[in-house]
This record gives sequence, structure tokens and C-alpha cells, in this order.
Amino acid sequence: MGLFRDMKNIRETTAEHGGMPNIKDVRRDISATFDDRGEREILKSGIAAKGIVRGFTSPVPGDRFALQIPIEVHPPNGLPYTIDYVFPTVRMQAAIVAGMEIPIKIDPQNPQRIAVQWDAQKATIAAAGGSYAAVEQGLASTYGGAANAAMEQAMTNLRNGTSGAVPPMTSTVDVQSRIEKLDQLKTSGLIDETQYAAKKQKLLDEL
Amino acid sequence: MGSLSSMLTAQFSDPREQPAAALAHWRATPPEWLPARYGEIEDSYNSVTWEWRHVQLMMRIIPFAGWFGGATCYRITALFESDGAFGSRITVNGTVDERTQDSIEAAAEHFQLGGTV
Repeated sequence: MGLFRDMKNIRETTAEHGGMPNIKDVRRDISATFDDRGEREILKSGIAAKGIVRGFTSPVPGDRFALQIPIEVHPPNGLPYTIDYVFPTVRMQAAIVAGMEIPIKIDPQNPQRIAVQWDAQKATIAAAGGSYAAVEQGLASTYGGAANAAMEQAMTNLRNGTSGAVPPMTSTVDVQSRIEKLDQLKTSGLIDETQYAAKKQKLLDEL
Repeated sequence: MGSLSSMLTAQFSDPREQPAAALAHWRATPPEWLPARYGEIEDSYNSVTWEWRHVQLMMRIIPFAGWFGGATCYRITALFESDGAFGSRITVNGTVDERTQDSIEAAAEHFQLGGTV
């Protein structure tokens, strides 16, 4: 019976997520989701400026409807300053990562408050050749070649079956040379026969 | 007028004007391919955005239908960057109605459907 099975699935799935919320909670969540926190007003009457992203988006503790990201604000007149930009998650329409130049507006009454101009940001990303290219440019401007070098090393490790944390597996040649060194130590009298045998067996076990 | 819309990216160049001058020019006199029904809603230090909220006839007849999502919102942004010499490279990105899309495609140096993905 499809209908009854669907109803059972809905009941079980909602139970796994803590059960059906009550109407009051739903209304509060909808209200919080679509609360623009004054951003439309800033976009309407704010001062156009350039921002440079100085980090990555992260959750805001205790606020599940917002994200935060450090932004260096470059006002048209005055020195740059950095703020932690907290914005409603639902307003995010395009990628913003470290190093990106983004169009913003500054609240003339409170320069600590800004709003990202998402339509302009989308155009910026399109001009860069798409999200991937824009992100790569941003990261390159922040980390130079370090991010690419780290990624290439990780890919090499993957191809070789190793990771950055795990040293390469011991090769036969490596073991052979170490046994030869062991022989030299025994010949020169620095280790006795027992030590030699134990160490040699350990090296052979690595093969 | 169809309601079909899709994201587009188009490129124009203006070898005679620097980005700031070209931006001011486009704001004062929007490009020919942009119908007058599109109004400027936002500008940034290097861009301008126009919008047209189209309410279909049926939605106009039904009282308050527009309040409940009965309008289609078209938005198009022009971004102005240096072309590396003395002029500007202009990237147009957004969503427009079909007829405007055709006009942009005819006027642009490069045109592609799809957005910023």
C-alpha cells in the first residue's frame, strides 16, 4: 500500500530528526531564515566599497541561520579595516573564499556593518571564468603557489599509494643497503653476533 | 512574452573608455539591448545591476497574487574591468527574458548560456 508506506516513512524519518516541530517553532524558523538583518537597507543606502576576503565561511556558534567570514573592508575614503562579517545563510548566492575581491556596501551609520552585493559577486565570478577559476585565483592571491604545491604533492602521494602522514613503504633496495651497513657494523666490532642476527631478521621482516 | 529564463554570461569590450568611465556611461545610458522596463537597482565600485519584475496577466487579475510569488524577477549585472590596455572588458551576467536574451546574444562578442558554475 503506497500511501500507508509513505506515511510510515514520513513518520519514521521525522522521528529520526527529532519529531515534527510545532507550528510556533516552524514559524520562528521561517522568520529567522528570511530575516535579512538589515542588509537590504545597507544595500539601498550604503557606501559602495571593495572587500577582500581574509578567510573561509564558518558557522556562527549559537546561530544556525547565519555564517561568518573575515573581510578586509576598503572604504573609498579612509584606511582598510577587518571585520567578521556575519550574514544570513540564505542570502549567500555565490562563492566567497580567501583572497577574493568582493563588492560590498558599508552602513554609513556603522562602518562595522556591511552587506555583500551578491549580484555583482556572481558577475565577478562569471568574469573570472566560473566558480572554480575564481576560487583558484583567490587562493593563489592569498597563498601564492603554496596551495597548488600542497595539492600537487597530495595527488602525487595518492598516485604512489601513500599519504603525507605515512612514509613510503620500504623497498628491497633499501633493506639490502641497510643489511650491508649492518654487516659493516658487525665486521668493525661495533655490534655482536646476537645483535646482528636480531636486527637483520627485523629488516628482512619489513620486506 | 515567454516566461522562460536562464542564466547567461556575455562579454563586451570598450577599447575607448577606462572601466570607471565605461561604468558611468552605461549607468547614464544603458546599452541598446536592454529594454527600458529594466530599472537600475544597484551599483557597486565596478558594476551596475538592472532588474525587471514581470507579473503575468493572470497574476495581475488575481488580487494579491504578486505577494505570493506571482512575479518573475529578471536581474542582469554588468561588471567593468580593465582590458589590460586603455579600455574595458565588460562581463554581463544574470537572468533575462527571452527577447532580451536574444538581443544580448546578437550584440555580444562572446555569449554563453549558463552562469557561474
